[in-house]
Amino acid sequence: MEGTREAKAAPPLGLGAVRQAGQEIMRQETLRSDDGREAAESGRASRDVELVIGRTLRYGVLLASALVALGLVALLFTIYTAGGPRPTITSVMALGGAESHILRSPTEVFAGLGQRDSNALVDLGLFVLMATPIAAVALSGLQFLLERDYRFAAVVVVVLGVIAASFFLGMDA
Amino acid sequence: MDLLVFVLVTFGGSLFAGTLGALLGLGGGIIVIPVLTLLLGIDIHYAIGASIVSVIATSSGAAAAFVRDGLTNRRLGLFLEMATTVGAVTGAFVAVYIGGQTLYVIFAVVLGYSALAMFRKRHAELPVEVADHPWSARLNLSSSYPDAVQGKVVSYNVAGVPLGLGLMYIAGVVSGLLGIGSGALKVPAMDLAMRLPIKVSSATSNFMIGVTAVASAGVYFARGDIVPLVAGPVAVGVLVGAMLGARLMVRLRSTAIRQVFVVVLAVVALQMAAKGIGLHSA
Repeated sequence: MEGTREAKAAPPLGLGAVRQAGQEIMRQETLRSDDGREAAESGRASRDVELVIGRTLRYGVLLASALVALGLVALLFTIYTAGGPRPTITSVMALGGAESHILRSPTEVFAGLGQRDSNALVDLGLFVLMATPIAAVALSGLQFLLERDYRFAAVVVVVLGVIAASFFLGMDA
Repeated sequence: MDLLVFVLVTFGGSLFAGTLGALLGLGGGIIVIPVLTLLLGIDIHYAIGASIVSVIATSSGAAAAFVRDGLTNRRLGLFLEMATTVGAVTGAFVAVYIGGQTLYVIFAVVLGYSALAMFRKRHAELPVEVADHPWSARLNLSSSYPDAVQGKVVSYNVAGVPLGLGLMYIAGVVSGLLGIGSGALKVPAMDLAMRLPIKVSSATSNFMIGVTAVASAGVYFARGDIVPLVAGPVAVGVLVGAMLGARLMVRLRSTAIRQVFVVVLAVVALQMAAKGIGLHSA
């Protein structure tokens, strides 16, 4: 109820204006702890990193979906042109082998790409997808370094370290 | 089921899961897993493998928009992620010793409680009179975001940092144990303990679940649980859905998001409780 009244009192901004306000906030945030020209320059560099993070996420996601979609279409084409009875999900999964098989490691995926295996193309897209958040975290670390916020740069190192550790622990399990 | 029909149904279900997931800060696994197992008859292991992919896809698909719109508090997210990732590793270790059913019951109780607490504050558009926790002041965690519905820039403080950190550790343990992003625990922790605006909680949870899920994705891949024909349509559907959901959230009222979240929490709590007392084995 209260929210409705408030919204009437202040006409909503357009999306574009809000987005601009968001960028203004980010600009001020990066400049908040800075003083002097040298600091302003590091603030600009950190803003560039902010932009790069946004783009990394966007293009990472687009590239991943394109690769996965392309691989899927190619995979379905192979299966449907192979002839025989109409394929069902159970029959294809049970067959394994040539049409649908599971690759378990990056080595297998890259070998599969060499053999023009569509399954490997889907997996490559999934790898790009998994790499995207890691890249965003790593770039955040770079941003904190440029802002000379060493405490938060250390936070990023801890997070990346634990993720790396979990990969190695997972291999043993 | 015909293969093409299977791929299209999976894509459609994932589209919905991604939209809802982006909106609420969840990974969409709660929709993807039942659609694959109950509706399409896929083995639970492949469904969980696809669910991990769904969590990463929701997270990255939505984050691309949220980071640009200034909704995500990346500093806070990364700070809390220290506790979550360590929790996830702990969870993977203790998974062997804890009975699954006990865990589901505990999870159901926690979610049920969160649903109730969030239901009580269903009319609150934004948190009021939140005192900045000393840790938040020291670490510079408080921030602001532009709210299109309110038509203004909303500044917010961060309360209960140690409690939030503890809850994030527990969320991480649950992630490691059950192989989920556990956004259903992260959002209430930020909303109820740290008293953040719901849109910020949702966007920050979205950013975090991807990082948490990546930590366990490698394991599932090596086990052979990620099947191209199942995980592929899920990834594409969820990515498209998440981009839609992220656009939708900016235009929605906080109270509306909160109400949808309460319903989803209640459904998940019931699902978990049913599993805990062994009603169905999925």
